[in-house]
Amino acid sequence: MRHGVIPFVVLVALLAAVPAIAHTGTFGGGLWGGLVHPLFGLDHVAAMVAVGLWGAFLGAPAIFVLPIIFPLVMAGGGVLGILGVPLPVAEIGIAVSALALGLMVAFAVRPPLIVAAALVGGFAIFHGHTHGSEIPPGASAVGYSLGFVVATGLLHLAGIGFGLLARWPSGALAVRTAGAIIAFTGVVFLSRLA
Amino acid sequence: MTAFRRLIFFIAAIAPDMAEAHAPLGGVGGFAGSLLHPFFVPVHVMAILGMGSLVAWLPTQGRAIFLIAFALGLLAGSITIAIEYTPIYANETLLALSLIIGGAVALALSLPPFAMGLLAAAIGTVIALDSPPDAITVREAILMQLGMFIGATAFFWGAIEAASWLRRPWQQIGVRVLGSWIAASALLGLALRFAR
Repeated sequence: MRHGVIPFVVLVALLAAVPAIAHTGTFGGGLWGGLVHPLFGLDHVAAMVAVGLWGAFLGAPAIFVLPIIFPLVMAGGGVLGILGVPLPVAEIGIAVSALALGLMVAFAVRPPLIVAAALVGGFAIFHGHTHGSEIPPGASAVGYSLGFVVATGLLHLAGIGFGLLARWPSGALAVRTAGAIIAFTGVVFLSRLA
Repeated sequence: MTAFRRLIFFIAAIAPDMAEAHAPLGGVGGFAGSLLHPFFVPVHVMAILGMGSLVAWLPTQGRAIFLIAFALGLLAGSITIAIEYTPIYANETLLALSLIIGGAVALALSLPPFAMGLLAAAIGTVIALDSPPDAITVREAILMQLGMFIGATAFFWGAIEAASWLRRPWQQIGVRVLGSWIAASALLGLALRFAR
């Protein structure tokens, strides 16, 4: 009896294993986690909306160059975070990005495109690094990454949508006020880190 | 057979979960599941949308050759699967190809037609390699491969057609932004794959 039971128990243990799912990065699982992750960090949300606002305020070609550059450089920062490369000032960098980008919008600063792109790209490294190092261990690689990037891009688009109001005088005032509010949140985030 | 053994047999029969190696849509398998497979696997969607956007920038007359290259790639991949080759890094290769294509779309680079043909064929091959049928019979496996072939080819054709409709400047910008999202997601996905 004893000799018969053990093989059966082993058989049951083998059969009870969880399924092997090759494509863990399906739209149902990791994508959702990646989509909602950036939305829970108010500092990230504020800075991303500011990127869109500033791009819309600057007009073409900045309106599309900034939202194209940001995810590409952010992914580079994300790789550093995933690989565990330390970036001690990342959280400060994110808070400063909200402050600086908010001020750019509030004061309607219009630097040359290369300067705006370099500024936004530089801040993107901090955002990417922080999110890259915060990716949960069980998250599916592709689904989570895609959701995370798309959510960030949609925040840019939200900023651009609101920023287009700057075509009208009262709209420009609203956009610059939004920039001032974002800059203020940046100060709040910095004070929390101090 | 004792009651204990019957109990063990019963548990063994109900314990395993459904093997869904290539069933991104729950409950949809076989031909229909394979037909929809390229639409529901993110890395396949990224590669096909990116390649479709690149091809859509070319003149209408020359586009068919890339669709043919893609379909031949799918066929080559399916044949490779049929001779029982087990791909190891198909998903990662597709991510790397998506990174190149997404980057090219984001930066509005016009690649030489020969390079684009090679890319289309490579994407087709790797998508087929990344979609091995989990079928028991040969007939079922052939049907699943046929479903994948039709689904992926139709998706690629649809992506080219959809992107070619986007002619206004702001629509072109939208396509480039989509390219940047594809490239960024592919880079992060690759890093996550190799870091773990």
